[in-house]
Amino acid sequence: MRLNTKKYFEEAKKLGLEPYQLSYSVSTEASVEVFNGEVEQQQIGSAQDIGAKGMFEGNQGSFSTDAIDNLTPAFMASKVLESAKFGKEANADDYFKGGKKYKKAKTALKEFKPATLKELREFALDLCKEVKSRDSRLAKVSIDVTMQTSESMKANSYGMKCSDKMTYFFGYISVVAEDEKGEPRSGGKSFSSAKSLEDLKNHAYDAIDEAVHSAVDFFGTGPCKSKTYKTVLSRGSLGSLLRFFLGQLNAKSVQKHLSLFEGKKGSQIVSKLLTMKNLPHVTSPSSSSYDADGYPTQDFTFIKNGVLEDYFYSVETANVENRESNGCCIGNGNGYPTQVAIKPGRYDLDSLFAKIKNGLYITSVSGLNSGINGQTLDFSLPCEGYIIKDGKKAGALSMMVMAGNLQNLFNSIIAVGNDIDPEQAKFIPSVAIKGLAVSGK
Amino acid sequence: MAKELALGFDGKQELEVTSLKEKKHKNLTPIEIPHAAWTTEEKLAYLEEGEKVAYGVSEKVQDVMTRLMEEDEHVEIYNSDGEIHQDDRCRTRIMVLTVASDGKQFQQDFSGPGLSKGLEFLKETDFKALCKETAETAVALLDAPEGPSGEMPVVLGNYFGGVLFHEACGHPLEGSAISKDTSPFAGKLGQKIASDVVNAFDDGTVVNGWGSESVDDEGHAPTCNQLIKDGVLVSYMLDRYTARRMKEDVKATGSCRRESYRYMPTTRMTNTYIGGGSSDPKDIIASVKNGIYCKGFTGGQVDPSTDQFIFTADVAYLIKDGKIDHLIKPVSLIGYGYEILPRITMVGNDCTRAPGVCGAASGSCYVEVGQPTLLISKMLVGGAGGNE
Repeated sequence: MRLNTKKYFEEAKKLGLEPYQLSYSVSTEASVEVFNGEVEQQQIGSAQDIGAKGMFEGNQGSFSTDAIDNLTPAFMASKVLESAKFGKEANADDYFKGGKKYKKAKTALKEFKPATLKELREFALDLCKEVKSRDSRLAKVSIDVTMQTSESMKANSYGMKCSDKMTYFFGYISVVAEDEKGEPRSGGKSFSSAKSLEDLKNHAYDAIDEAVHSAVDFFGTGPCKSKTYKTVLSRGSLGSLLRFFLGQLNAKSVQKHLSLFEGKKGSQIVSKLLTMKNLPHVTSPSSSSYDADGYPTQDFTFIKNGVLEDYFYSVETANVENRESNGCCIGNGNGYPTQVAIKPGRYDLDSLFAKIKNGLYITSVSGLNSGINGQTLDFSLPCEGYIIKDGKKAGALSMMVMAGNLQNLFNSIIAVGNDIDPEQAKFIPSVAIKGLAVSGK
Repeated sequence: MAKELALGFDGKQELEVTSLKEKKHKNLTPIEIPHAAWTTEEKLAYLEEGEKVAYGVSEKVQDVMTRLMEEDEHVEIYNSDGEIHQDDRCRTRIMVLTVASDGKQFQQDFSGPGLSKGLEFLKETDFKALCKETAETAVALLDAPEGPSGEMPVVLGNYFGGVLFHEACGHPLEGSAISKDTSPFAGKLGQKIASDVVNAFDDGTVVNGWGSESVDDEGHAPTCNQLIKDGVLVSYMLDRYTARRMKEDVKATGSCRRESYRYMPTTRMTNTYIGGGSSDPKDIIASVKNGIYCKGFTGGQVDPSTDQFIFTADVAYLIKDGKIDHLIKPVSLIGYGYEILPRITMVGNDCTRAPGVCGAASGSCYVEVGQPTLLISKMLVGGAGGNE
């Protein structure tokens, strides 16, 4: 990373900005998209961004840009100053002063082996052919493969300095299947590797069946009867819902009296079967050794056996309560964990089906950007999945709506699965819940 | 990097650009007051007046966020036709989000009008009235019962109600899905896809429209593109590349867009709406025995390959015996666009448009959605109140 941070701090000091903090990232990406056996698009790109925040006469200002040259340090400082003149009051102590050790996140493995664009293209073409051969009803197959490398750093005028690297391969299989009447059904499956294109290939071939089944299983399907069902939620569905639930544990929301869990530390807020952790250093593209404050991220349990142990703190919110941050800052003092993990239970997927005996297995939920109220945790979301009859997966179901409240849902968990997949950075298992209102017919 | 990328293509070079000539376009986004004309203090005072009004509505108003968004963008396009195009894009949007609480629960409401105008837009907008209305709605939602679920008639209000057409029909009519034959509307030009009362447009020529730009991001002038005429599909939205891939003899429709240079441009909507009809909105409500009237929406999404959509009505009322009965908590509306279009049985005479931000392959683009009040004879509603 070749950024001359000294010049940036000098320009900020000239204008009386103190403290002053820089965030810089640069990423390079090579990607190929293949559609039905032909190269649809291939790109190589590089992008960099720099942002700064700083204080002037007690107020904070900020500015960010992707235009970086010799004039940027002075221009950026002048813009931060302009912003600070009308910015909110801030506390210089909310800037992390450094002096703590960083644990390295496993985002750039030593064994990472880069690939050429040609290799990515050949892999995507081969995979497309293989997917297409699996089922004659697949009318369209699209493969996206990306190799991404990035570096990021933070530094401030107090002397805090930290950096991370990320090297990863990502892929996605997207299919559209058509039944005998030509009615389409789409499906897909993502996969990734922190190691090499060879490793990505293995994960890709493992993903094919799931991608194909997510489309062809749902031909001619419809909804179930409207009622409350015992339900198994797939790990993907649970992960989608959990994201919104955990937003309520942001210490800043709690301090602004906007959280449903204000004053609930030490109280049971979800099923006793749930223990949740932040694991920010595991092998995952989301991992990071530091948060948006530049504070070291930490492994910690925030819900133990259903009891809330801690909120997600930044330096700013920690100072309000005269405590230490837990390294969860995501910007503007807000907190959210880096990598959430639920402690797996003893049930495999078949045992979860047996546990509920008769009910539903929800494999996907959609409409998350509009169907969940992040304040109330009320949700109303389209979903699809399968009927569970006598403890076994039976016919597929679609065009259903599940509705309720996430707090109630996480309280009604009666069994936790063991189907996590650390190699694919999936640390949330499937769960069984005792009642979910589903609308259909 | 460019060399490595070029090595990925086979065949001979077919294009050679030897000179470039600037091409002028009609300015579709003229402004009167540039963003620099007001001081930051004046802009903050404008926001604070609205905030004060919202907090004054009730002690139950817990949090108010007001926001002014100004965007000034200069775009230059150099294309393989040897053309240079330039466009100055100026947008102004004002937003208010109000959160109310009764100590047991939170409810919220949002309003965010905007146009491709300068600060004259702030003078033309009654921001204090908007803040008052959002605060009143958030407070009223605290006492609203849960909405029903199941299939029922749905009256969609005008303005942001057009998000349904945007999600369910607009995206599947974009060239990226049509040219790959991954849309349920592919190959259906000239066919009936909606009821007779439906006329729909993607109109990039609306002067000062939130989704308007004087030239699109590959150098074509925008067009007023009628997509559906009296229920018949008459056009798609296409860019140069997707038009070339089509079996039909079709041309780019001036709607190739991207968020910034970081994205490849592709077909995107501009100002997309269902045109006004002949029904009085009061008659539309009166025609429904039991159903819901959806007035405010938070957005939605669609799977373009299957046309399944979802969107959420955050301000909705129960209709009983042809009259609006009471406010209900937010509900989701789910269905397939191709099933909903033939079920539009009444179209109101009150078409208006609203601003939004649409995220897709070429990044986040500013779009207008719009429609008059519409009656959809049957639609799947997902409220938490059940269907007993």
